[in-house]
Amino acid sequence: MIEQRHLKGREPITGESISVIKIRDVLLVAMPPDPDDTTITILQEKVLAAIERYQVKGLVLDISAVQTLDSFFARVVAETAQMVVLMGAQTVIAGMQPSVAITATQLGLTLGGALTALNVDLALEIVSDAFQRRQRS
Amino acid sequence: MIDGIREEVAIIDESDIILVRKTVREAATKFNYSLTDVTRIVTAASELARNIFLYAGSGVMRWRLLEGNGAKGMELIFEDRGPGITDLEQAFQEGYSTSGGLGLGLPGTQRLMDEMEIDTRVGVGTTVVVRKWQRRY
Amino acid sequence: MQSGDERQNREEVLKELQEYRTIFEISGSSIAIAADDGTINRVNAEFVKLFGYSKEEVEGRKKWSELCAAEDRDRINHYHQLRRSNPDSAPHNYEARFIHKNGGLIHAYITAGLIPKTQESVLAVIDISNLKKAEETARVSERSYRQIFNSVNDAIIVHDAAREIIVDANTKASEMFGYTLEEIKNTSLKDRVAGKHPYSEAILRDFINKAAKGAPQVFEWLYRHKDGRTFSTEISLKDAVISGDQLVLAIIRDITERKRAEEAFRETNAYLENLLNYANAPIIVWDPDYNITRFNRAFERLTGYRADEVLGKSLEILFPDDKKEDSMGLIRRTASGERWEVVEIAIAHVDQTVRTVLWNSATLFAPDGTTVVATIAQGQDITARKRAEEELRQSHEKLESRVRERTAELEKLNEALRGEIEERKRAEEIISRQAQEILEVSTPVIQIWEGIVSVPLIGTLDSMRAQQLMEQLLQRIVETGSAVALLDVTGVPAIDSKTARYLIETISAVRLLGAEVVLTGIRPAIARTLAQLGVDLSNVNTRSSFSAGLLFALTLLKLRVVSHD
Ligand SMILES: Nc1ncnc2c1ncn2[C@@H]1O[C@H](COP(=O)(O)OP(=O)(O)OP(=O)(O)O)[C@@H](O)[C@H]1O
Ligand SMILES: [Mg+2]
Repeated sequence: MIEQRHLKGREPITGESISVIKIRDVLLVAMPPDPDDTTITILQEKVLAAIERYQVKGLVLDISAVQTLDSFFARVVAETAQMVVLMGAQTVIAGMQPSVAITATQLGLTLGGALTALNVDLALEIVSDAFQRRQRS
Repeated sequence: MIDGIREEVAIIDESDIILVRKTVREAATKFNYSLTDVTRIVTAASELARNIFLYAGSGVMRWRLLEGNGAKGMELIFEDRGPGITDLEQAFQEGYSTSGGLGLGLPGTQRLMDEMEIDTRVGVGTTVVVRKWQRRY
Repeated sequence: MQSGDERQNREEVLKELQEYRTIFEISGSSIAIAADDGTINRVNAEFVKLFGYSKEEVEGRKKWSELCAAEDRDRINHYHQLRRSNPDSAPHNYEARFIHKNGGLIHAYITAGLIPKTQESVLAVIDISNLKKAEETARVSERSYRQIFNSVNDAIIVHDAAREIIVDANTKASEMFGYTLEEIKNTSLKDRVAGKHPYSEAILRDFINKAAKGAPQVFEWLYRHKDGRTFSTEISLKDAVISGDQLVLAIIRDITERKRAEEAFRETNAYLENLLNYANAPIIVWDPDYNITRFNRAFERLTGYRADEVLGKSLEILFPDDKKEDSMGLIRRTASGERWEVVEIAIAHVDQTVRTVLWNSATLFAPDGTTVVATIAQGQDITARKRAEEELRQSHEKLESRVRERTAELEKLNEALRGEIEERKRAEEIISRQAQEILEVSTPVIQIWEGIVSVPLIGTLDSMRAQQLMEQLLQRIVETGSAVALLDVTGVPAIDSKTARYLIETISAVRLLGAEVVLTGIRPAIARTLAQLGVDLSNVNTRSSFSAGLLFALTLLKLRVVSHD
């Protein structure tokens, strides 16, 4: 017996649920576990607008909850990181789960100019220059 | 047609990509794949579902369990009635994309899964079948 | 009578005229008498001397203004006319420039007046050319003195020690202290010193007084800027007499940068010193005469000697008696610039036991590139390592035989339970779980330091184990929050392209997490295979030995190894 799945009573996806918090001169964004393409695109716009508005020196993308990092998501992250660099700030991707890291590597993903950190704490340290900057590709 | 199909998900709009991921994640988790393997399967599914949405407009994903020769596994079938792929070899080249993407979807999926078969006819449609076997110790 | 009076009168006039002539001739000044129209009627001997023209060439022939330099001619003419029209308003004395017969310029100071009841002028000319030249020289030298004074890079302050005031200061001084020249002259010693001991007003006064008594002083001093901050300087004080005043010259150089550099140098030095002393690997340094100049803690532990017992002694004392010759021979070759790949040299402990140590060394040369200054060697005690590896290998084998036993047992059970599917499934699960556990044991990921995990890989890496390793390593990195992972492949006998790909994949995945891999123990054979397979390790941190890897890992973490005693 085949079960057919549909999204019942679709909720409008707005991207509003993603919080973009500013801590001193860093923008901290926590990604939800399974963001759809629209959410990811809205998020990118929100982040770029916030960076322009607050003149922050870093963007920390907390992806510790993210379970699936596919080529679309990776492309937007890499693009965002590049734009953030053009705006004079730095992007740090924090808290990638081991299973996601392994999958991303095998898929062949790169994160452009973004730096990586084990967790948000270390990411904030990196942004505040307390840590040596290492370029990731 | 194909025996043992457990579930099928219609891919009509973008949010269906999330539904495909959700369906595949639940199934793979239930069948005791390791977290990393679950992530691999879900990511591959996300790539193939997005390809259908982007290039064929609509299609369907089905999955079933495999058993034989003492091995157990999961099979995902992605079928569409889209334009088909003219040059398969080219489509599997890393970096090749007709939509400004990373061109990682097809070659990456091949690396993430254990087996991948693709049947495409120009003007008729494309069927992609991928399998992942349970790890045997 | 009358004629007698008249005669007498005439005689007096003549006499007066005679006297007047004599005065005219012998007067030290050059004198000329000029007529109404400016023609010079008479000049004296001095005039001839000064202007170079003979009396005949001038008298009745030249006009006063003709002798004058072109620039002053109009003015002279104007005075000449004024003296006749309005004698009171014409200047009695003035300066003007004249031309000597040979063309030379004469600066002259003129005293002029009308002879009463005539229209003739008397003009006395004093040559002030030399005076003018001297004035000019003085002006130029004063100007260049100031220029030099202000262009030097050091601040210069001229003190009047007795009155305790600043007589002068250059531009650099006002920049350095933040005052204008006028302000700085009004500051007191107290305003300028940092104040805190020993940079007090009294001590600086003492230095200045000593210098004033003829004993030049050079010392470092902390001054205070107008804005309150302090700055380090080097002062040189020296007495000087300028235009009769007893003064003290202070030449002040800002050495803030130098101080900062010195401080930074001291810090790095202390850091390296600590790193060396407390590194886990034994490290030793010896001079060209093979005398020990440095001996770290790990070396103390290795040999049982304390550093102060061996410093200055010959390297020989470290080797077992029967190996002294050989080892010294090997080491002498390093002095000729040869670099050890890795050599094994036995080291004797004070308790007579002998340890096998793998050595890396490097010769340090003087800037000339040929003179040997010292040799530094880092060792790795493989006595324990070999034993540990052996033990690990044994336990691995033990585990494998246990798996075999269990598998056999379970298969037997399997047979017995054939047909009863439920049971079989449970049994399979048991096998699978146990095999999983064993796999995990065979690639133990250990946290060896806060922030560092390590995996010693032993045996062949098949794709299953490589996958397992990747997952476990990443899991542990995240659990322990370790930013560095040491991957030691000393125990891997051979590597194929698939294994190499797994290694590279593992390294990339670790980087995505935000950590870094250090690959250690790549033996030459493996390095060669990797190169042949076209694996590019240039982006990967590699170190030859595990301890070198650990040291590098510590620097990646920017860890400071500090003493606890
Ligand atoms: N279902 C399909 N129907 C028609 N063409 C397809 C289909 N799937 C893939 N293609 C073609 O193959 C190309 C390669 O696909 P692939 O998924 O590897 O890369 P991409 O989708 O372009 O980029 P990415 O997946 O990295 O975002 C696509 O650009 C598209 O032209
Ligand atoms: Mg794609």
